[in-house]
Amino acid sequence: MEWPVHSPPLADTDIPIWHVYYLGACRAPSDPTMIWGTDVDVTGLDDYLQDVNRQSASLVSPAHVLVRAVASAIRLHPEINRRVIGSRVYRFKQINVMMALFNRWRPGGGNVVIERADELSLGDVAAELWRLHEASMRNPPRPPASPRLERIKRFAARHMVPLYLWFVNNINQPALGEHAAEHGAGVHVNYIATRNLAPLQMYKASRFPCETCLTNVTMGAAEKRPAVINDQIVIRKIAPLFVRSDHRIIDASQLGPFVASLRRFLMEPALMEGAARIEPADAGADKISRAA
Amino acid sequence: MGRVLQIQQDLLHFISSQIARSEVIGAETDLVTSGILDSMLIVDLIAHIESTYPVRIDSTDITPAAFQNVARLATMISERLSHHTQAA
Repeated sequence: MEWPVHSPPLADTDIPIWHVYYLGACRAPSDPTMIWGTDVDVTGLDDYLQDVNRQSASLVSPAHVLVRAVASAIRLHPEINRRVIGSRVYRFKQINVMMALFNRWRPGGGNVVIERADELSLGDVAAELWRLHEASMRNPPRPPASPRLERIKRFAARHMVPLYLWFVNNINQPALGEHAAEHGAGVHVNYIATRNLAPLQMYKASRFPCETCLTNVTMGAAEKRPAVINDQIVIRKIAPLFVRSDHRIIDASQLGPFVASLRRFLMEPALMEGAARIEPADAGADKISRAA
Repeated sequence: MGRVLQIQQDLLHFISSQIARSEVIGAETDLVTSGILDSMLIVDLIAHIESTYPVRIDSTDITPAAFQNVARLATMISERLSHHTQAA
């Protein structure tokens, strides 16, 4: 009899600790994930950023616009801003947006949370993200501990994390401790525009083992592409946009309008200033143009 | 003036090594409006500056004016180096 894999399995110390974390936390799921992929014409975004940066105290980048656009779209579609605890759906009290910060010192990435992102100006979002970037740079990951301590950490990651996740995923808890903000965000945002990467055609962000950030928004780098406008082929800057969400909190009929609103805000960021005045109860994808 | 030019060359070399070969930049190229600077390149650029020169770039220094072009960045670094030298 022939076994197709080598035995024994890889030792925990031979794999990164975040892989051990996922191995301890994940089982093959019945997957309620929905993904909506689209393109965004961001030619107008460039012009908007030029105007904004003439007046802003902090340098504003497309990533900052993305965070603010997501917050504005959630304000119009609050059904996105929910999480699952046990088998019940809960609404978040405020619009917090989690964003992945990539830098050379944290190859696994790091996440930060911008609280009440819908109430911040674009300049405030930029200033906060630069502050968090700086904090990340000033506090690089600690070097590996002794082999013995690394083994203990991996043992804990594999065996204790499932217990921790059972609590945070089944019992409604107050936001406490250093990870409190991470449990208070309904949406996670990636801006993957690093140079020299292959063009992004499809991207599904992984789900977090804790049942928060059930929706993910990922935007890739803009590229010049042919587009048809008024029956003419013109060159526009087009960026890929992917939204992953969860059928336990919304339907595709709700995800579609959310993506449409987000796309519109990215195409015409000035609309966000008007949309911020719309009350959530009065919101809908068709309301954006009225707010402009 | 010689120090500013030297810093300019260093920054141009670093940025050029990070971007596509087809993009040609000079000391006066607008890094903000041209879209050359993205968030990650800014963070890498700051790390390069701080590891090369005894200066510190805080988050409040990341302004459109300071990062508009290599010439302005080099001037800012040079001024901080002068303060550093005077304080030493």
